[in-house]
Amino acid sequence: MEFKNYKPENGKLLKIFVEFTGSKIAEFKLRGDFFMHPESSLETLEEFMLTLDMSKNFTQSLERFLVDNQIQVFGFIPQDLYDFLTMQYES
Amino acid sequence: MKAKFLNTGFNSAIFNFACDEVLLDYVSKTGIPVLRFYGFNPTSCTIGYFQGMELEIDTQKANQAGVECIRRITGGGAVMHDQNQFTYTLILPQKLLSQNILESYEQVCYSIISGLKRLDLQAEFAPLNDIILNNQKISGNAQTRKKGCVLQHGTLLLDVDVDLMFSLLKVPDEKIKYKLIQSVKKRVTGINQHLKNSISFDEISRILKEEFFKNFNFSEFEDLDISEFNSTIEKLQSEKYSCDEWNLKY
Repeated sequence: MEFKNYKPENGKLLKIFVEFTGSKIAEFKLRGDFFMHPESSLETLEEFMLTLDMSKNFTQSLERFLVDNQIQVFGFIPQDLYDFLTMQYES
Repeated sequence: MKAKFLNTGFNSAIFNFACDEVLLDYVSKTGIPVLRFYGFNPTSCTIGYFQGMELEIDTQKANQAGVECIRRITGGGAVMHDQNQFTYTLILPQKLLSQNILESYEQVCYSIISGLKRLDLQAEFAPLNDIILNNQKISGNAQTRKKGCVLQHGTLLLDVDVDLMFSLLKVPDEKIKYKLIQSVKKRVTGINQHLKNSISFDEISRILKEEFFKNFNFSEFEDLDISEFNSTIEKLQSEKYSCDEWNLKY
């Protein structure tokens, strides 16, 4: 499993493993020196990412998911994940 | 409000993190804030809750050097802990701190900053979780909120050995390792480099204990005897912090 490094501007260093099936995320693992409250939300977030489609309201869906589940993240924002995943998807 | 204080001295990483977790339960049950000062011996590496052990630490090298590698219950980055650091844990009922996580980091870090002012060191809070001196990092801090409590722990560098740090922590690109070490040397410092006379663990402990006491308006610090928690700490050490299931979780 190869994790790729991504450092958003003003964010923490993220290490991400991703695989796509078409425009959908087939596998997603997120590691890094960010903070997430509550900590147990990471698995829920990783699972939720598998429901997302790069071509359909990715950022808004992720923002809503975080708000609905009362998850606070410090070190990256949904747009950062979108930017990184777009680079990976397009490559 | 009364608070409890304990200085557990220098211990292993697995003891220190088991101790933090037991004290979190204590504060959750009693509502009494706890401040603990401590250090690490032997040298160890800790990774943030969301980090992958193998992604961050050269575990083979660490094992050969007898360095324990442990996952924390808090987020943040990988840290090498040696005997030239002062470490604290403050645990409070959530209602005693700002509900805003960013603000609460600053509230807790303020006691470190005001303590350093007494040494004529003009340190500053650097959001989210650092304290800097002359634009160089001297302290990293991390927080978790569980069981109605906030636990924040942090390390204050008295001296720093960047070369040792980079022999254990993984660098993304080995080709830029030398450059990176030089750059980290410029960005990280220990407070003793900025003092005429080096400060000891005991001396900085005395100052910071007074600052936490004052800044949190505690009416009294009562000593907390760690020995009453020994069996629970031992259980957590052997059943959690020594186990791959926890340390290699991600």
